Amino acid sequence: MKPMAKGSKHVENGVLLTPPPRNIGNKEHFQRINHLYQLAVWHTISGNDGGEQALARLYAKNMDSVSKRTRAETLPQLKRTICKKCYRILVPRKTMRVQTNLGCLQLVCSCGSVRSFPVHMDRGYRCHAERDENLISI
Amino acid sequence: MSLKSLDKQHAQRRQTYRAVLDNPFTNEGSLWPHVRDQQQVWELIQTVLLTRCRALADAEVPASEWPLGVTTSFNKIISLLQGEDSNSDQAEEGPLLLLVCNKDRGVSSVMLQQIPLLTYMSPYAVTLVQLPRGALPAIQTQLKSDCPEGLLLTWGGELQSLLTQIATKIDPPHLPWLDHVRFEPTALKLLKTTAPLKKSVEKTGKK
Repeated sequence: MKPMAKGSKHVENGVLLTPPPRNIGNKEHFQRINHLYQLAVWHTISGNDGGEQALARLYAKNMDSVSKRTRAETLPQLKRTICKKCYRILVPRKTMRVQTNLGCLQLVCSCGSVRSFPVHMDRGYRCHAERDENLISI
Repeated sequence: MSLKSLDKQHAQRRQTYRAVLDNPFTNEGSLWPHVRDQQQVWELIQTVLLTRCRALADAEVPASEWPLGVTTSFNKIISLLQGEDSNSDQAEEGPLLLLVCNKDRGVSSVMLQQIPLLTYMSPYAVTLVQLPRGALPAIQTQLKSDCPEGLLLTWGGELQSLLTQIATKIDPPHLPWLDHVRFEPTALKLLKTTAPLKKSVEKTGKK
């Protein structure tokens, strides 16, 4: 598909197509979230935080709060690596166990919370944000 | 011209772009080890491994008596990779080879996302090979099994010669964030979405 020229308007399937913006506003919120996430990962991996990963969880929770407060969204691939209950970074053999149960993929956090993905319903399913045609790299 | 096609020409929604943050570490490009000369690797696997399995399956040899271990069960693969299966010493019998059909349709992306990490964190030496498109039906035919997750784990001493031939063509897994985290720049992306063109009707009575 050819890139759209500035100011050009084209209708496709009832949708008015517009060219992508050149700049992104509030970039500093994303940078803050990115930094907090990397800190949380570092403290989880290095293991210098004890079994409870208190500092890593604090960073991850802070990151989630910033994301919600500023409405700076993150992709599902990133959100799947954080436990919704205890905010641990989910790393296999460190903080997470992977298993399937009745066709559902289950990510079991060390806090005991289970995240289920019913993959048996449609194995080829990809959510809107996971489809390559919907994402543009900057 | 039908009314439906006319309706499609009339814009009702407009395209919008939302900024989203991607995972700075685990992007798809760097997760899977790169395979050079993929066709040759696939042919090698077919001739050395899959035809052998087919012959054993045709001869109706029980799976426990096979000279090499083969499994397509997700739970068994995971327990072997995580070193949880302490009763069986299958993983200690020889090197592990994990074949993944990540380019075929019908393989869950959420499930696939976990595989490179699990392989990297495994206590055993696991060779991860991503197979070309169309490999899944070939495996299903040769093994006479469903192979629903698109994963095939094999182990045993007989794999050593195959692995030495493959190893030169596969890059080693590279997940630097699991060993030494170094700061990665913000991976921002734009997500295409749509929003309604018409403005919402203001509440009546509000002046």
